[in-house]
Amino acid sequence: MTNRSTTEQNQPHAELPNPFRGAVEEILAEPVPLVNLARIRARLPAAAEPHAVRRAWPARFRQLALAGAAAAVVVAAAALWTPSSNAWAQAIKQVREAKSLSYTELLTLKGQEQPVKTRNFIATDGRKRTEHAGMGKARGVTTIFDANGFVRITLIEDSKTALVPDRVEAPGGNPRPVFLAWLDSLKKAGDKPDKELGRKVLDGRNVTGFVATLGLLTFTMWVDDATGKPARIEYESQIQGTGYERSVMTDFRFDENLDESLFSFDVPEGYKVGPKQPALPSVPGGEKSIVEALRGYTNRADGKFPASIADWGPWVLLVSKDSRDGKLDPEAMGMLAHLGAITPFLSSMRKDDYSYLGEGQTIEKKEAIVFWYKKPDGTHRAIYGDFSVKDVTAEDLPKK
Amino acid sequence: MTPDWSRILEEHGQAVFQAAFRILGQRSDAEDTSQEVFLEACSSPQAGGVRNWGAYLRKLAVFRALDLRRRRRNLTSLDACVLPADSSNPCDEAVRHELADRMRDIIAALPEREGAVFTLRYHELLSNPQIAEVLEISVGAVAAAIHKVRAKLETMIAETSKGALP
Repeated sequence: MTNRSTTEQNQPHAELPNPFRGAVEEILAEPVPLVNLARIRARLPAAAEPHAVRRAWPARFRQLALAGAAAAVVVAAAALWTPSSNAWAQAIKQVREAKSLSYTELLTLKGQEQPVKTRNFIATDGRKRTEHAGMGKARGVTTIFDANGFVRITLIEDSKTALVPDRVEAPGGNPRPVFLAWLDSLKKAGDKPDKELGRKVLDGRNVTGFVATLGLLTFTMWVDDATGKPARIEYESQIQGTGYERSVMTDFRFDENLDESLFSFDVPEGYKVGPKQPALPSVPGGEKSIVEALRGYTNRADGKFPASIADWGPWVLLVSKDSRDGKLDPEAMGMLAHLGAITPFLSSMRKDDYSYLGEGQTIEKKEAIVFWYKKPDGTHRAIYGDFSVKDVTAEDLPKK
Repeated sequence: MTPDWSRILEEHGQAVFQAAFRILGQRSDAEDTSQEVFLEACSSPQAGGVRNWGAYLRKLAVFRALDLRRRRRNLTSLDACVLPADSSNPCDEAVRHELADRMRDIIAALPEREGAVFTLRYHELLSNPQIAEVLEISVGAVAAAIHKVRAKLETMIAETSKGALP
């Protein structure tokens, strides 16, 4: 049955006496199909010339005529009518078929009241441009990624500096699975959401809400009733202990004519090329990178394990206090390379299938499990305080 | 200036269709009405001067859909309408459909302006100032229309309880 929950603000029919109230609720609960715009567009004049307008047959007459032509009816009906669909399906179709896309993202960071706001542009070929609004006196920072999610150029508007990486690849392999995980997940969504949230008014627009879990992400999508397009998409981070907690995306624009220059990897005129950071070494990723990252951290932190392996803030602080003239020593570079490879590894698992337990632990507790995860074959692996790694059973794991 | 019909259709097509669909309850009728609305807008000599296409097209959609419903069901007054019964079993699809259908007849049987105000307020969830903008009437006229409609609905309930209506 259709969900009828609405906000107080959005249910003027509550002022009607029953049974009229129930009847209006019923009308509002009926799913509105997607209009066949192509059929209407085909009849519109290229220019607003009144005499050029030719009226189409009413749909019911056309249907009767088609009913007489048995052989043609299947083909004609398929061409004339779009399948019945709900707002979720319409919105997913928009996302799936979008050739280009732009949207605003508000990223809620742990411990910060104000979310970080970015405007994002995705080109037809998958390149992405992310514009961070300026913070404090600084103006914006723009990052341009290639289609695989590798950073190709970072532009700092305040100092007119362009940072160009020496080497394109990142530790831990291709970041694409994390880079646009939300978009890739939504493109694969079916025509039915898990749950409907009813209707409400959002930023002055009437919207209908849906919830769906796709892969490792659970989305809440609010669809604009008038346009059938997503008005707001939200999801929680699926990585335990990460610095960011929630993403809220709004102001979607599909198939805009995005200028090619938005995605150029070239240094713009007026920008100087900033100091090149040495490339991070290649690392294996997976449990090996967790071990090496933790080993590097405890070496610098008097044997103490970090509070999180997904929140990079304390790690960066730790290495930056030992840096000289902004340059990192090779060990620090190696540690950060391993750290960077951890997030893609964690992103590939369900939240319940791994746990980091190192907070408050030291290397002196050699037998303590500091991290465990469940392999795809269902067996478990654990990393101990002495950095040894062993197969374990589910019963061996510390209770949460 | 020639309006960009393709863009106008893209932006407002679904909203026009939705307004018509909620009044008519039939996809084919709602598509016919939507088509009629855009063709009427195209051929209107006022087209070049329209500033708020959303409001203009919505108004046309509501009036054309109410016209069609009224013609189809031969609705000349509320006397011809049957009060929607309270649904004892809301899971019963047929009962719920009947409930909505009777409500649509009642809306179409109202005087034109009252039917349009009812639709915009309770189907499209517009505020009174928004309704006033769409229908190009004063906010006071919107409030008066809503008051009249509610009074008529109350009367229908009272008369039904006395057995005056089936």
